[in-house]
Amino acid sequence: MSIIGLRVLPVIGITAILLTLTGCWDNKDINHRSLPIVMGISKLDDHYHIVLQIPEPSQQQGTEFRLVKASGATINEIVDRIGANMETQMDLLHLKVILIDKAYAESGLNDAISAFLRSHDISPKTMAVICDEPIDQFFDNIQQYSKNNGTLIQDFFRANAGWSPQVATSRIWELFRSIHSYTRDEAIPIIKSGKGTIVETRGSAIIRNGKMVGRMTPDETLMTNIFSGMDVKGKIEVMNSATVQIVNNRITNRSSIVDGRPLIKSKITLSVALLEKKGQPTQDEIKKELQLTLTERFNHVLTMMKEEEADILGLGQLFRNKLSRDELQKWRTNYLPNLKAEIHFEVFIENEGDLKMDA
Amino acid sequence: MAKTTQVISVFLIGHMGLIFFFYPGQIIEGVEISHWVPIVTSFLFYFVIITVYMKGLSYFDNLNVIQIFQQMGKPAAIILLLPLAVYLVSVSIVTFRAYSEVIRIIFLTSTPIWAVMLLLIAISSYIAFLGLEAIFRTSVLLVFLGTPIVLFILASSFQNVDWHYLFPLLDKKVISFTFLFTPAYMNSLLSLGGGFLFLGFIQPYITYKSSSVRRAYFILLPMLLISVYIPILTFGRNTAVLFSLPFIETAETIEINWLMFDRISMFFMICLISFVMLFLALLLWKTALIIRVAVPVKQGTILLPLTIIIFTISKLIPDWHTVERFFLINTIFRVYAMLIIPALMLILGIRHSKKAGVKT
Repeated sequence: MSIIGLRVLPVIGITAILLTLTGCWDNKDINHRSLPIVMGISKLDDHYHIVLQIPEPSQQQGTEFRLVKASGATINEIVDRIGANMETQMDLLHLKVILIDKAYAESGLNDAISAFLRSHDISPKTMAVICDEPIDQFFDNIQQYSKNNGTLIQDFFRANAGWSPQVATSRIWELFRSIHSYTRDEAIPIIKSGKGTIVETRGSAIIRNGKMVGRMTPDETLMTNIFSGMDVKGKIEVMNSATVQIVNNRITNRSSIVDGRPLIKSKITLSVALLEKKGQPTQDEIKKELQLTLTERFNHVLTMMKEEEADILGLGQLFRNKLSRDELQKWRTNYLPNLKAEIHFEVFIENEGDLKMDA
Repeated sequence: MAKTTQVISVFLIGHMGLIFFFYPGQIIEGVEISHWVPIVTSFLFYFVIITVYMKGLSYFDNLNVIQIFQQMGKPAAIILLLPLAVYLVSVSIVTFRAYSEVIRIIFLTSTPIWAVMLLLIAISSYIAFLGLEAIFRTSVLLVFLGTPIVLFILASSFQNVDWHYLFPLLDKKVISFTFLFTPAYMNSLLSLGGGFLFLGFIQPYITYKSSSVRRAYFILLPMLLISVYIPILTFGRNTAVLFSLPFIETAETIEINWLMFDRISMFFMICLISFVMLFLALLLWKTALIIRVAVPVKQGTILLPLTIIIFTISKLIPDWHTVERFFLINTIFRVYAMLIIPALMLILGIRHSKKAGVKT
């Protein structure tokens, strides 16, 4: 055999072997996958009911939505059953929002949240949202609007899309953390389908150890966002004398234990821009009124926290260097109800808009 | 020829692969608060061991552990090297099995484990087959390719950090050093070791400056701290202790809007897995080198049966629980490899230098 033959034959041989390869293992092409983006969960008498919103690209009119519903004993079982009944592979990796029925949230979410984190099918970054009306009704109502906007609910909570400072954000992993934490509880946004606007914000739910124990108004949710150090710029505060917009916020906390009682001194610096005024209030009057409004609101949140023994502001975190681990364990029951808070809002009116102050 | 850069990159790569998967989980489980104490303890512990090991080796002029033992005669060498060989084989088995499991948990959920294992072992033994030069040169390439990604992920993993979780910094319970005797801490210590043994095997094929390696070791301290503290600062100890792979779980929570990839943790893990592959290749190569003391054949001839044996045993392990049992049985051999061998090297080295002193 010639030398060329010796070289060429193996190449042909290897190429022939390559043809027997079948490609990637268990690979399913994108057109054979269903990627739900919203999952609705409700629970009735130990039976979960799940609704999945699955976008389906269609050639005529943008994105169509398919709603798939099923009930069963565990979430994974239901998802598995839906997958078995569908012509495509179910893939929850791109799930963005988990919509939880309010009644279910009140009975406790621990099992579901642990299941999500354990199975690794769902990203821990998925947002948890509570629905203030029956899940089925919610999906039916938004169905007609979401024709051409597949990421509608997701956009509502995204900081670079439709999120507003008075809306809480809560990821699955944050919820999981709060379930096991001594010193931190979570606020989950509550929504319902709206008229005119597709989604309507209804404040947020106070989740204590995985259970919904109370609710806050959007304005009170703003407080939790300020305390968690979020940038709440853009929020508009309406008062009797004027309407202002927050343009900058900063918070410094100092914690101490006085006579066995936790004491917290917080200073919140707000820069606001004047948008509207009624009559002729002076700058000082506007500042005073804003301080008063916010302090009252904060005190209301605090009272609620003490009543529910739920630390949504994460104040217990500030005492981690003051209390021992065993003491922190009793933070919610022994310390939080006795907490004394001295809060001071420092307000700067950064600008008065395009008109002069007394115009 | 001195190839210090290559040796350092193998050294760092091997440790990085080991640190970010199981180490944080074991430390978080072993200690309740002040995790920096056990971390620094294990860091210093290994610093002493590595120093002793390299000091011992330095008495011999460019000889590796095997050649040093062989100077004492073949039977002695076989007796001393046998536990080491057992250690290396069992470490390979545990590592192959554990990392295949990790790959399956993280990205290939529907692929059968044997396929993942086969791929992992095939690549590693192929690199080992190509020889030491190939391993060391690949390591430099991996450092160049991997460092930007790893650094990017490490930097962005601070995204959800709450610094309050750092406290309490010091605790009486930790200062009493009782954690040293918890099984979780022992495991963490042992899983960290094994990354430095190769330093005694590569001469005379590759030589290096030991002082530079020792300096490079300090890069690992921030890595150890980050691997444990990022999960704690993000989740708090109470929650972090529930995860089997805390750092990986934390990396999953990173959200970067401008990046088109949803799960950037993927890149990090792929980098680390490639690091582990190289580490495994080195393990196989070392094992083959030891076996050749008893069975004098070519390096390549040993690797094939060795790979098949390791693959078969790994495949026979049915579940995670067995892996952990394997790990426990292995402890004696680990201690031998990690404590006795370096100590033995120092003793032999000092004796050797005295003898040489008498002669001249």
